[in-house]
Amino acid sequence: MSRERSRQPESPPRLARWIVGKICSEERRPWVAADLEELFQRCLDSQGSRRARRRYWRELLILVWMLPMGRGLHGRRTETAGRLTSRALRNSPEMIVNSFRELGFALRRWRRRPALFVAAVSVLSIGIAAETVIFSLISGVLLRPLPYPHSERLYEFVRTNPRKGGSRPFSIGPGPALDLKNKLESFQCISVYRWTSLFLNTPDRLVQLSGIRADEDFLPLFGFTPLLGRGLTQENERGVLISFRVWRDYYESDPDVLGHRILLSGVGYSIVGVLPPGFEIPNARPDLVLPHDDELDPAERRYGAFYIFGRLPRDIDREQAQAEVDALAAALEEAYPETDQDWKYQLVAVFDRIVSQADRRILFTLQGLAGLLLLVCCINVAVLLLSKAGEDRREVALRLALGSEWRHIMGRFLCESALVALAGVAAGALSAWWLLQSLPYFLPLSLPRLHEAVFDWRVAAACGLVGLAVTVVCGAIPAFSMLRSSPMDSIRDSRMSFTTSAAARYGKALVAVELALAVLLASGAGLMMRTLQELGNLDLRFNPDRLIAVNFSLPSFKYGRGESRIDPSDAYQGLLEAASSVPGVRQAAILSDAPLKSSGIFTSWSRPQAGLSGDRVRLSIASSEVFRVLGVNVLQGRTLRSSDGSPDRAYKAVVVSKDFARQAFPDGEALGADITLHKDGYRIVGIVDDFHNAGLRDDPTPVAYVHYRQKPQNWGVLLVKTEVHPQSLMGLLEQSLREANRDVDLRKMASMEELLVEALGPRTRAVALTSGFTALMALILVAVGTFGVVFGSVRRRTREIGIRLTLGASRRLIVLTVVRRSLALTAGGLVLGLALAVALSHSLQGYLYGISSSDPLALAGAVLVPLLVTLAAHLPPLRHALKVDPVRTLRYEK
Amino acid sequence: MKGTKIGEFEEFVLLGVCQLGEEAHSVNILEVLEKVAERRSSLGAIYAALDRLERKGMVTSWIGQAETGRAGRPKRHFKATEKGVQELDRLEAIRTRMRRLIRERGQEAG
Repeated sequence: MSRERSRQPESPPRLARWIVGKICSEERRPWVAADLEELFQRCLDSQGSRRARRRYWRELLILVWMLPMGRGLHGRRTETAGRLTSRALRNSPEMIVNSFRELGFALRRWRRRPALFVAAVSVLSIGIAAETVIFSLISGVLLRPLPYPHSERLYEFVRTNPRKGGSRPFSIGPGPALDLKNKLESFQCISVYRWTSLFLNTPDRLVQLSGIRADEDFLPLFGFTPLLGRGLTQENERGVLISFRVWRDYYESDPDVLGHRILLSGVGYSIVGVLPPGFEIPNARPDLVLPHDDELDPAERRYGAFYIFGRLPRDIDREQAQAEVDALAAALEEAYPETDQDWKYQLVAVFDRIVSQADRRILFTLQGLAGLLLLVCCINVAVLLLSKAGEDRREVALRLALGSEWRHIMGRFLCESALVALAGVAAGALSAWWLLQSLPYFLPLSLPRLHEAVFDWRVAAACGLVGLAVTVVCGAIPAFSMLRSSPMDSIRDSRMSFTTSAAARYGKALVAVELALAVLLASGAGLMMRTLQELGNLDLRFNPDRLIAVNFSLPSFKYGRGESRIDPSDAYQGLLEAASSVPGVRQAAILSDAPLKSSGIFTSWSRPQAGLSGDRVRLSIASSEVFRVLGVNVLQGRTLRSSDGSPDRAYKAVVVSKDFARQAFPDGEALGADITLHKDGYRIVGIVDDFHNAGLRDDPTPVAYVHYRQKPQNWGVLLVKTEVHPQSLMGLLEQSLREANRDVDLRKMASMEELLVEALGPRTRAVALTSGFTALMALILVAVGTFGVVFGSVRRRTREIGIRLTLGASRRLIVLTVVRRSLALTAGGLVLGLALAVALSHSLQGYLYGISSSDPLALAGAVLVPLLVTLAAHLPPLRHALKVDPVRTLRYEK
Repeated sequence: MKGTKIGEFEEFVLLGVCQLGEEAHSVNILEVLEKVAERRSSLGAIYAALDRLERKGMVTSWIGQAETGRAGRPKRHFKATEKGVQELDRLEAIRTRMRRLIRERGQEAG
């Protein structure tokens, strides 16, 4: 604030105050002005002078806006409002009335050509809708700030180890986590948390809830205050905050819920607070927030699943903070060489953690596709508008001859185009709005923050402006060329002209460009289709046919080893029996992780006698039928048996994959040999073939399979081989599993085909769908455009064709006359499109699988299909040309 | 106008009037709405809603005495009528009943 201003007391803007005096009726003026002033004073105290002045103006503008409706200031329509309106009408310049009249004329002219009007409007609306939807997605996902105050100062500590896996993030052990929290000084606030999963006892069943164990800084860090009650405190108490959803669904939004005792996984807690409805942390919405338990043990430095967020103060930037973190990491390395060697901590802005580079790339790819589509649409509108230019010629010439001024003629054309543009923009914006409302329901795309994408009217307005500009310009092009030519020629020439008019020339060139873009879009679609096709041919080395995978878990406080808990193996057995008893199921098996899933438990192995060891074998819990269900061959020995799990066996049995056998026994026979996994000794009783058990792009990982009774655990994947289509059995299967075990939590049920597409990367399907859709649209538009241009030229040349036929021209010659020039342009468009496609196809590289980005088959298809479409679009006009009756054409115009 | 029914915004304004009691005038109502309902609003909208409510007989208003705090200018005070309070109760009851139906359905499904 300047010194001059601070001397006198702040008052509202004088101009605004004067306006208030003018617009209010006599009876209301005193208290409305006083209200505005009071609001201004309050704003001034809390937000400062600039904000207060701005607020005053805003309030005033809203009052003025409500004035003509007779609301707000007056209660009923008053004299002032009425006077204002009538004055505005009386003084309205002639122009407005005229332009309304012109619009009326344009509307009547369009009513004579409804098909053309509808075509142009729908084409324009498609382009605007596509562009608006994609751009709204981008602005919702990428450009909108996160729901945390000053989210740009929020950072996550990402722990990496160059020796263990490059930039792969690891979770943090409790010891280092506490060191980071307590020893870093540049941060305003640091919070350590970990995920946990808890079961809530409701009257009729157990419900699994996701929870976060965190310290007292967690809620303030993200800027959340509880809706009811308080946050966490430092004391190690048994208090829990429940989410708004839990409060609503299980506590009937009871305002007296605080202090209520609840049982979470068998442990009693009391509710100390309710989280606000919008509570979320990056990429997740936990149901519960609880204090840390004894897992946060400062002495434990190696194992732990903790994560850290920190908030920097305003005056410290990332580099300074990172330098301090690096220094601390180095100090920790020195102090604890055993456990902290080589671990680095990187500060990553929360926004970058939520919206990954891949997500950004896909949005920009989609944006490119939609932009191309909008371009094609605009071109098509131009072509459609140009196609009627020939017919307009005569009318324009007549008007010119009668002394009409050029600006009236231009106005006529502009009004016609403006009508198309307005209708197109309105229809496009409406469909975009509708699409965005329903998007989360049918878009097969799990983008973060998708629910935040809302219809962005600014985007729609921008796209609308582009559409408006293109339409209006294209509407004006023929007018210009008509104004240049002499009226007499035009009257004589119209429809019978032997020469191609300027409009038709533009039209053909535009169709060629459109064709090029269609080739480009078709090449993208072709590449994606080939990828999906390759996926079908892929040798997975297991049989994904009619296979359902059900991820399940059992509550750990009820199932596990120990006196009072149930052996999960019995639950496994029950689930297997329940699944097998469903009619239509051939066989069921259990494996600890689904095929094609790259995560899993890895363990170390050793052969003490041979002095060999390694640290990367996946330990999978399996049931005996698993290899038959997956269709994986047992190469040597036998498969697992349920008797392998009984404690009185002389040895523990393990079945290993071929790859692992080769790795651990490079020299000799693996079957029957002994091996140590982690710390337990096993005997190899069988060797099975490798199959794609990791991601599609990764090689199979070495696996050791042990029977579930040997190593009971609380989660797994139920693999069900069906006789019928998997989708038809899912409901029945779910019901049967739930009946068999009321505690089981079925997390995800999917057919192997769905998992395959998922394994390809969640984004591939979205890109495939979008590129397919845009290519299809572009092809339809090319067909419409070509048809319009060729048909227009045939109609213009009806007389010429008639004369040629009279003079004895053959049908072949007529066809040649019609198509020769447009085919040359078609060829040009195809070549241009192919060049563009080759140049730009590498941008799709990341979504392709099994083919290169210059796949010849895809490119050939991308040229051939548009060519065929173009040729097909020539047929109806050609038929029209060949049906020309020479006698009638010559008599056509007197 | 919707006759005797009130819309969401009107309901909020009416709730604001009830909550503020003696203090109910436009600027205070606006402040309560912005703080509690977390939605940005304007005096114009509040006036309009209050006028509609008054026409529907849900609130009454009177011009108060000139006050020293406002440069000697008066305030328009509002008070919820019996009808307004009843309407709020009715809406609340509908909501509670619907919620209960949702819960019962959820339990059946579970």
